[in-house]
Amino acid sequence: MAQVLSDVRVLDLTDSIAGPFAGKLFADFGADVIKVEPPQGDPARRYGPFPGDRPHPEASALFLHLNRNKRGITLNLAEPAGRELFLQLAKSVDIVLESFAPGQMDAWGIGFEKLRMAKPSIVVGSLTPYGQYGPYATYRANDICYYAIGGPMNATGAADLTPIKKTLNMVEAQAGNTFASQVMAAFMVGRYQGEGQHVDVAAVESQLGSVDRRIIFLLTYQFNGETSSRSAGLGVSTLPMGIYPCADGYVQIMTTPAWAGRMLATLQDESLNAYFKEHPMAAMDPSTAEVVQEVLYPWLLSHTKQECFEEADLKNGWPVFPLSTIEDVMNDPHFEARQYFLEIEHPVAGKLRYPGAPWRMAEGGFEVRRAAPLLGEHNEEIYCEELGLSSEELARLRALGIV
Amino acid sequence: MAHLPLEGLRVIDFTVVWAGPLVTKMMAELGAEVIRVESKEHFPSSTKGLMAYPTKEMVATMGGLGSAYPNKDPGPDPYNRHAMFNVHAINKLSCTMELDRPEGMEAFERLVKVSDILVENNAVRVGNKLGLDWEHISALNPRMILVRMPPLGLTGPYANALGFGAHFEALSGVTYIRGYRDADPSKTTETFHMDDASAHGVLFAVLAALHHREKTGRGQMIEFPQAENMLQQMGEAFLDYSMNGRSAEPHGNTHPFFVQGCYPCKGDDQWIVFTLENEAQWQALLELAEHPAWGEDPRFATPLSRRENQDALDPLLASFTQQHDKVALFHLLQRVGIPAAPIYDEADAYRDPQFSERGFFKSMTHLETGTHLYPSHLSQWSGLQMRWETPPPMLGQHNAYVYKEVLGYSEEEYQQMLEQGLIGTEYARA
Repeated sequence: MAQVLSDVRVLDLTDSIAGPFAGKLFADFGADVIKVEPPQGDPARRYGPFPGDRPHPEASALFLHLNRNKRGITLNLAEPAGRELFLQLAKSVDIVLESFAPGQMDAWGIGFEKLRMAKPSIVVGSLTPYGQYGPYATYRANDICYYAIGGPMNATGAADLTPIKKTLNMVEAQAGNTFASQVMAAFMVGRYQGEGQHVDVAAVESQLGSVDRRIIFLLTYQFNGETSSRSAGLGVSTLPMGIYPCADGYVQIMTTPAWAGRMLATLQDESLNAYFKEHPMAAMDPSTAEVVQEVLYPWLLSHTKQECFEEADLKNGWPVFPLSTIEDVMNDPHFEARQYFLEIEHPVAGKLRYPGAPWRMAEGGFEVRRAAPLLGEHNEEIYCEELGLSSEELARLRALGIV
Repeated sequence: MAHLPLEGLRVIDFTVVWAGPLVTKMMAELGAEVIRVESKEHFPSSTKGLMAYPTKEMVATMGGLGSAYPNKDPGPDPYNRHAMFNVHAINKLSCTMELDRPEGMEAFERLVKVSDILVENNAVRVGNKLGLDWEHISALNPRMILVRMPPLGLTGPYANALGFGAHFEALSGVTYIRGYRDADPSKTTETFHMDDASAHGVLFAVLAALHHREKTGRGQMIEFPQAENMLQQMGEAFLDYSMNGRSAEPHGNTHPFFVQGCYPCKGDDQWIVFTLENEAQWQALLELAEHPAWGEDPRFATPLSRRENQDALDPLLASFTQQHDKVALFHLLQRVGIPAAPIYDEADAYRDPQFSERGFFKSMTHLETGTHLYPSHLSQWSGLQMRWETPPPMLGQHNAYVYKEVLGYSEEEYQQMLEQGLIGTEYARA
């Protein structure tokens, strides 16, 4: 069966992380996503990590992951001839994704209004740090900046230490995830009503509108004037809550008052059971913390993180979860049983294990069709076979540095 | 003139906590009629506050999310007044339905027949018990797009694991590597990134399934394993392990090859973050710092040596940032092309000129909580305005509309249901 988006074509002009993440979602579900790189390539090709830590523009882990399932061409939009070629390409697509500075596409004469004249249903998605207008429209930002000004970084981390960002490039990726969902919604208008849209997404707003605490804290401030902080946390409990050491690492525990029974069922300690029986309000009593710790700590230190998880959570429904490492995750029996990680072969980087389907659809879902494109891998296929350029013309464009 | 993409479609919102309700919030903004189906007999914890009926005294001691009521007053119906629910309930309708009673199941089945999308994020066991499985739903409505979003999927050894987003982040490797470089992992606090990642993934998936339905006439089930969706955002770490056998270690606020960090500013708990990507930015920063002696230190002569010696450089950068107000410094650094941002709390965000000019915060009046500025849409479109119409619904507020107009019950039948306590507007008291 054809994939759900097999009749959708996307020109992905974005680079680095956030924009390509959005293009990847379209590509993973069947869209023909043509990645357009400047002749020197997407900067993500230089980010790594690389096999053996030897930089190679075709073997950057970040690039390989974010651009799988896409075809790739090179095109120099700074040159008028490059823009001419782009306009021809754009006639055949449903969606253009771009992350240039606001106004750059218009200045080049290839902005939304221009594209829409040739194709009224076209959707142009623009992703920038602060959106297309406003006093900060030209300001620069990245993963840590989006989280700092948009997200709840002020409330992430320990009160006696600095605020701390999210890990890897997950905030960039989430900006791309937001970009994808918003552009997909506009595509439905373009496809079914014939009216194109210019979609303006601000990466910072993807954090300011995040359900990871931020929007809740924002309305809380409106309701009662309280701002969030690292010391306030999510409300203090007298029962185990947070990260604790165990035999071979750490576990994350949560015990609401309603779950005290599940904790007791796991710890199986007679004196602790008796204490809770004698004190019906124990869960609300601050002195309970110490009583529980006396039993909890030895129990944790005599169990591995996996044993803690199986005994407490899987058996008794008391959330005690392992702080898994990347190695743990890639060897985890659950993800193994679900065959989540997939091998993809790439001509330069070789056979590697990638995260698989983000979600599973009964019909037309995720497939791996190809590894990330080599720089300009599909130039001939797209410019000559699909756009009808002769090989002489392509050679001329190459010589001029357009392709 | 075009209309919003989900106009004319009905969504059954069977979601709890945070991830599911954010998806249906966006669907409502995109034009769908979103009906929350809620049980008045079972208060869903961490969805509309931590408890159904906390007293004012309890709220005072709870702090944080426990006290997110207007003026910290839970009032007689706290569940209609909590920020964690109201913030993503704009434009939605609410009805009550008891799926564990035959009358409730009949009403639910009627609703399934006249709806297009059903989203649920309950535990796998709960969803199966309540008849949210594809076999049951598709027999009633084969055009339905059913989204089930259990954290670890519907199958596999941990399918029934119980926890919140933060716990699945621990299991997914996020929490460990999100830690401080030089402090014990127990210093790491909770985030709920998975919830946010899920909401946007589900919206994309549902739109793709609607596109498929237009072409084939068929609905389908989407299994949305929230952790697996989030693992997509960590691809480089998994590929690094696959390439090099390297399992990432906590990296705090640092960047793999640029100097980057979080530095103190004037005032209490005020911070700025920035990244120095090249020599020009370093020189510009030294100029702003009025050419301090450490600018000449050979350890900091090149971008590479600065990154290698960042532990020595950080306190010197802090000695510079400390002299400045975070917002003033933000503008100074931007002026010289350095990607920088102040760390904002909520008060900062509401007074920021960029967010005001873009109208990110929009006003809404709610009968019980009053008029406030809410965070709104996640994108702006050239030709269409997203919906911003009705305030967060109170429990069962739209029972009459749903039962009589949508489901076709007579006035008499509706009154009977009310009298029998099958529907209502208050949660049961424990």
